[in-house]
Amino acid sequence: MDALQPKIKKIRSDLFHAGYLCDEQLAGSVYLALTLQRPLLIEGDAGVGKTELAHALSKVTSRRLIRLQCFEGLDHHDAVYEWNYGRQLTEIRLAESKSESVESATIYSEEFLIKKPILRALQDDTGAVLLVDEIDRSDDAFEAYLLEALSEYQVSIPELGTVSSVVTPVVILTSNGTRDLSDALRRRCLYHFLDYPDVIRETEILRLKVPEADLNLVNQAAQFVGALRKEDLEKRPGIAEAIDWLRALTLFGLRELPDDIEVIKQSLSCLIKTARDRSDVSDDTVRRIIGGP
Amino acid sequence: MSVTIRFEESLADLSLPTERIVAFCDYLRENGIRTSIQDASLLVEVLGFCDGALTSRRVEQLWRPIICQSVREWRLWPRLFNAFWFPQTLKGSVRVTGTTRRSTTLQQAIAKSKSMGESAPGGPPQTGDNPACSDQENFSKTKQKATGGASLTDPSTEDTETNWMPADLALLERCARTVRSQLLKVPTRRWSVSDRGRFLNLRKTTQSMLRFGGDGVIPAWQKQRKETPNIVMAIDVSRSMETYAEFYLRLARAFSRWLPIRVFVFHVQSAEVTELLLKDNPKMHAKINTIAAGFQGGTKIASNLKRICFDADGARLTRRTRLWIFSDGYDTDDPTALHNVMRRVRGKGVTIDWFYPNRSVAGMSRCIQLIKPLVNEWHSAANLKEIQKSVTSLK
Repeated sequence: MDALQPKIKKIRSDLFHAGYLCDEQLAGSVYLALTLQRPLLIEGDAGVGKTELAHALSKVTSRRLIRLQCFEGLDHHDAVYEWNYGRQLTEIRLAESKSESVESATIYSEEFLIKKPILRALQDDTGAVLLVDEIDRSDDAFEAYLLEALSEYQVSIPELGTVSSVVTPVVILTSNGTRDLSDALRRRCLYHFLDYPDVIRETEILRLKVPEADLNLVNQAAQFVGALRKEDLEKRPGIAEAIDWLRALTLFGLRELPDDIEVIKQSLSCLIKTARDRSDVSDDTVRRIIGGP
Repeated sequence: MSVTIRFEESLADLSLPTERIVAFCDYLRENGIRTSIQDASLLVEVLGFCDGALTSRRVEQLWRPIICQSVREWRLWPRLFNAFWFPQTLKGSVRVTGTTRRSTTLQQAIAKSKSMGESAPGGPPQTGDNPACSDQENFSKTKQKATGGASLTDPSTEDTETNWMPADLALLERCARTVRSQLLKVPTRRWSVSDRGRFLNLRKTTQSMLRFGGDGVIPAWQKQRKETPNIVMAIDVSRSMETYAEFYLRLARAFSRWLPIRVFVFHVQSAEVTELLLKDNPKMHAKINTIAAGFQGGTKIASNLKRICFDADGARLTRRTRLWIFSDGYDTDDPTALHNVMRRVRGKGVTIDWFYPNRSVAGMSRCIQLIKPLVNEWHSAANLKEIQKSVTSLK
């Protein structure tokens, strides 16, 4: 007997209604993240639905989604807070013009603080879903800075002190695996590896995302994309690409994959994103995948 | 202390005893998955959900995100979970109580396995990888251990266990230190504050103006940050490399103590051994030696390098990566396959160094001839002396 089944089922159903189709394993990971109040680190190739999960969770939990897009050189001034230096200088000038002195406590107060995503997520009264997107693109130093925020749900601002969360946010971190994350960060998170879906699940996802597409076309598209992923490609098409491709085929007015491979090739730019892959996927390859002569 | 209390409290009404969970964590550690006391306590906490009324499948699903921390561990998990909790479901497993036969050491087991493989029909191939250019005569004359590829002479002693100990690594570590000192740091797009920098850090400069009410300025300087290259070592442990693989693994161990390095071994499949190499445990090193025992020929260099470089759980290639390949270059993949893989690797801005074990076999295979322009430097690495000489040119 599995007493947790109804709860997991509800998470799957809620996410489904929010436009996200997940399997039992992912629903279990989400359940754990919500119950244990721990950040969830999701790794996987680009386009498998990592970021989308955070969007769906935001809808399911009715919490505001706050997104922090990571990049090289990101520091706590971009992610947590920054002092509004312009305003602080103006305040000093104003005080001087009135021959008054300015206490540092005055200009280093919340009034002069520019709140960035992490601080906003911690101070959200209703709780938020904090999406730290592509954490692998940030520096090691920023990762180290995140540790406090992720384990204690608090940040330290030297001039103000420690700011703790009002309502613990749901934290989703995503990584494309472009570099190894530190063990310290991994240990503080629950981990989930999101792989490409099998053909059956991909068919369901495509049906959910492109309801206007013909069912026959959806099946064929899912099979085609599944087979294309097995080819020796530099960048394998993700679910996002498959959805784009199906939308393109539907726009062409197709109800099933045509025998004429030229039509398919015209739309392949939705699936194939590098010049090398473009040259490697020949007519013969396309013909072989669709099972033609 | 609080953890201990939680264990006792939450396990009072659970069907799985704490000891089994602790043993499971030990088992995971033995298999290269790091688990902490906190992880163990979380496993127990999860079992307490819904008063422990959970199916084994559900427990497996819920424990997985807690224990796993990488793709490798994620993929390994179902096998380890089932092997520990449901050993009876494993194919070919036999449950034996009491000692029924004399135990054998790992080395004896390898020797036995190899002798069985050689005598069995359809067993692993007895010849090494086939060179594209024929040099069979030379091989048959000088055959000592394996029959092809680089395994013509033995670069080190037969001692397999003690050589792994820290004292024996001194010479190899000296090589590693040499490399570390001469590896050129690669400039990144990031900045670091430095008095000797030539660029103004506007944010910090503005911040400093606050001290003087906007009148005085203390300029804050910054410079471009430079980072040490990441090294990825791919070591061929096929039958043709039998006598060299162990030596290279020892070298890899020495390097892994001094440099940011990831070590992969390959023959027909590949595996990462970085963490195993860092452990000072004789039993662990005996296990590593089994990797280098040269069970099979038929090396697939191209497909393994592709897996190592481009799979989700492989090495993360950037323009700061140095790829060091230790192989004699006998590949059973299509000769053009290695060229394609190397072209992709170079496309990422990676610097490739190829260490070949024996001058007489280097460059004989067709795939090696094809990839010659793609490899930055070729190094002779038949013994420690040659390695010491080769590393001086690594930049």
